[in-house]
Amino acid sequence: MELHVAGVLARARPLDTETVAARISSLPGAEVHATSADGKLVVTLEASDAPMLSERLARIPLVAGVLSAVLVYQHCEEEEDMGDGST
Amino acid sequence: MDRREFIKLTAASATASIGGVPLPASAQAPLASGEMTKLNWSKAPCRFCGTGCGVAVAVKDGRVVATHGDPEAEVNRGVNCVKGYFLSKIMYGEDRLKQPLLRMKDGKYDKNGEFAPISWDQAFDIMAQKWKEVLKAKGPTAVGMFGSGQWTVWEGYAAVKLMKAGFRSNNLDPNARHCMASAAAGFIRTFGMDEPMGCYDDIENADAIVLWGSNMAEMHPILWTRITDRRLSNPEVKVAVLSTFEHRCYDLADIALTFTPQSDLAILNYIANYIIANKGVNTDFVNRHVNFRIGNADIGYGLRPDHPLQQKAKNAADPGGSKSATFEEFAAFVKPFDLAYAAKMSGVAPERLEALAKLYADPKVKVVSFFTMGFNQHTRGVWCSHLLYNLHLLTGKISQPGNSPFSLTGQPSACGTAREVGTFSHRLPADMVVTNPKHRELAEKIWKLPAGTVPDKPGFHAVLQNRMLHDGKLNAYWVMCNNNMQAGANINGEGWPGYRNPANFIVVSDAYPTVTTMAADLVLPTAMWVEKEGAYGNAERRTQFWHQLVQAPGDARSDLWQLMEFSKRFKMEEVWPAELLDKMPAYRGKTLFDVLYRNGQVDAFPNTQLDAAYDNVEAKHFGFYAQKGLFEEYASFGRGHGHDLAPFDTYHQVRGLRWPVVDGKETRWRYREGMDPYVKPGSGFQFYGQPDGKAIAFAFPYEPPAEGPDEEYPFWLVTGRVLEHWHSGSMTRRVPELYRAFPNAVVFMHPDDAKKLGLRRGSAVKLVSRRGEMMTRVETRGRDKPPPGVVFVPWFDASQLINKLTLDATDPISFQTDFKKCGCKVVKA
Repeated sequence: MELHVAGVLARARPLDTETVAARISSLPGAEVHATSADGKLVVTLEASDAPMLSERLARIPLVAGVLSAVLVYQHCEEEEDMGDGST
Repeated sequence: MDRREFIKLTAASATASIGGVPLPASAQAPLASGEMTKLNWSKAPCRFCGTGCGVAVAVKDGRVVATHGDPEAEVNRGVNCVKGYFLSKIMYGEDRLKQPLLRMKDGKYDKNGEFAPISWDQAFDIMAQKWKEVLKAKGPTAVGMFGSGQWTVWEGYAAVKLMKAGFRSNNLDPNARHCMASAAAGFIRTFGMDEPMGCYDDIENADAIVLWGSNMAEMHPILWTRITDRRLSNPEVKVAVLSTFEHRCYDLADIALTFTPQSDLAILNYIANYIIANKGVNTDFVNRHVNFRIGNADIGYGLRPDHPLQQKAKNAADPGGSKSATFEEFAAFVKPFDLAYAAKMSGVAPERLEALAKLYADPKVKVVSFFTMGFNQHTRGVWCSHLLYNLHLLTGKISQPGNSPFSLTGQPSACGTAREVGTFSHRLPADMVVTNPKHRELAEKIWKLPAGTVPDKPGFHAVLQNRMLHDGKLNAYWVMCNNNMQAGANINGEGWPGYRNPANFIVVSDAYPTVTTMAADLVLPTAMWVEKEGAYGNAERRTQFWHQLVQAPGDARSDLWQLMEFSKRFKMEEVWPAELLDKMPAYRGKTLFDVLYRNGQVDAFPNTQLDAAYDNVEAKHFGFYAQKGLFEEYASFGRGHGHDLAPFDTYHQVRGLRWPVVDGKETRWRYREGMDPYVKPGSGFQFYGQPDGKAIAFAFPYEPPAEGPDEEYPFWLVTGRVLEHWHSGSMTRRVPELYRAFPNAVVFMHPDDAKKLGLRRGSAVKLVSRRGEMMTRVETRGRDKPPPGVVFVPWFDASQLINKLTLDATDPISFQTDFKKCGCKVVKA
């Protein structure tokens, strides 16, 4: 099995930030790690293959209240490569 | 912490760091993880749109395995849009073309044969044979080429030389004709020079950002992110969005204006009138820097000359004509365009129109106006850009940070290659034109050619090429780096019959099979993006380079290799008349390759100058650093008169530079004293493209579109794009995951319209126009929300060719097609 991860920076109106964070968190494979007072959301997506990840990625800009969403980081690797975090 | 958690935290840290968002200490991970340092990272500009984002590209074992936004790139500052995710995958589609394919029957070429694999030698044999037959029988006007705003700078330049100097044919045009020809014509007519005066830094300096026919949230997401940041960090900043249907940008809009197609002309003139009536004119600026002219009206629709609309048009023969006028005459011209008229024509609420006009008229508000296809793909697209420049010129809101009329582009090098290199049927490098004897003379001098080599008449432009193929007047035709059978308008009426005309031999170079390769006689497999060394120029005049990072599959070769290698097949005696060769007897017995590319300039840089860390297939094949030689020869056209480019090697070091680059410094705002080294001290502003340094404000009226809804075809048909697919989808639809995200095109329509027709979301329907029909499905709840009476269809889907329906009406000045307006009906299937 593979692990695919993407880091996404999303933007919402400051007053909507928490609502939008909740909407994104409810999507499969999505996690909101931090938000800022000016409406930024640090999101990671994970999936077991690239098609699944890309579908999840394409969905973020369409979440109600998301004004923009950009990709910062992507990473994929085979599960057998996965040792502990020290590699 | 387990491995999965570690990777996720790495992603979160990278994202938080780029966004400037503090992460809780528990959620932090070291950025430079083992994986990132094991890979070999290089820089490249993105392959997709005209924004020109910087991408860090990782190669492992000869394959691109990862990409991320380049934090050192000023354009995108470490982020990429969703399309950027697919950059590492676009080269690895299973159906990649890997060898030349020729239509054959019984072992030889047959127009009605089946595609069979052949060698490059065989491909160039048949191609050269056809070119020579056509040149001999009909001369240079019967050969042509359709190029691309996705060509690298040197590919476009090599093509200009091959066509205009080698074959002596101006029948060279880029797909950029469909994309930004109207913007280019507008810039040149008003300022005497092409391309925006400002740069993306305008976004962070603006008080108001106005979108005229531009869906930046989906088409230019990175610039949209910068706008979103500007708006949300500065609550006083206003965003206005004008469109014929509601789209994603409306979420951020303070003023949303959904107008009736074509009424943008009335809205623009209303704002000019409002500025004048409400004392918003910057009189000192206007007196010193602006001339006024009244342009010809009733100029037709760029249709075939026998079309009734052309016959009826008074100025069809002189669409670009104009006469000098005073400011008072200009003011009188726009006076009838009052608020009531603009509201009636556009269907927009008067208070919204007035709020927009106030942004332009208020001297304290700095305004950036972005425009794209809504303006450019318009039978009055050149007028639209002029009428917009009028607003910026009347108020003096131009050539300063935050004050900018700004045309965006859809292709990565529409500016750098199509426009700056001049791959249009009327252009030469650095804004020069074939109709100017001095420009031809300079080109011939730089290219070491005898006087009279470059023909003085413009060749066939994009739409005319299809018509001439159809009529059998253009017979040997090479299409490179585009998918025009899908992208061009009215493909039933002109495109398909043109390509399949038995009198014609059609060659298509591409990386993947497309609708256009299916219509070809010979298909050439092409290397793409980082499979070659390249250069692109983005929409803010930024020239960016990249190295070859991987090898192309099979026998695929770059467009540059193809152009130069093909030129070896022609002896000068076979392409030039004896009189011309007599003027340069030394060229007798040589080949086009010798004369064009072994001229002591293009071959001036030996392969010892290559960066040893990277391969370069073309340099090794030809025996010299062709990219460097072509670039330096090309750059000599523009240095010293406002188009200065830096030395070749500099661009491999930096994240692009915005021209003119003078004394090693880029220029962010042109025409402004202190910011642009070409502006004379004491002048304040100088539009030095014009002989007297003054920009021209042109007055034009409202005129109706070539075709609109009527009883039989009651809907406006508007075409465009969606975020996940780029243009015709020949790269993005190869990526299975992207394909799944938005698998097939749909027709976006208003729920009330659907209900009236007894349709529901997902219903199968047939769209029908006077020219063709297409099956699709109804979408009433999507991201694009047309008002009643308008339907919107994306054009990326090769299985649903919406351009069977569109009308090939063009702007009579720019020859750009209007893909946004024709009549259609929706029928239950």
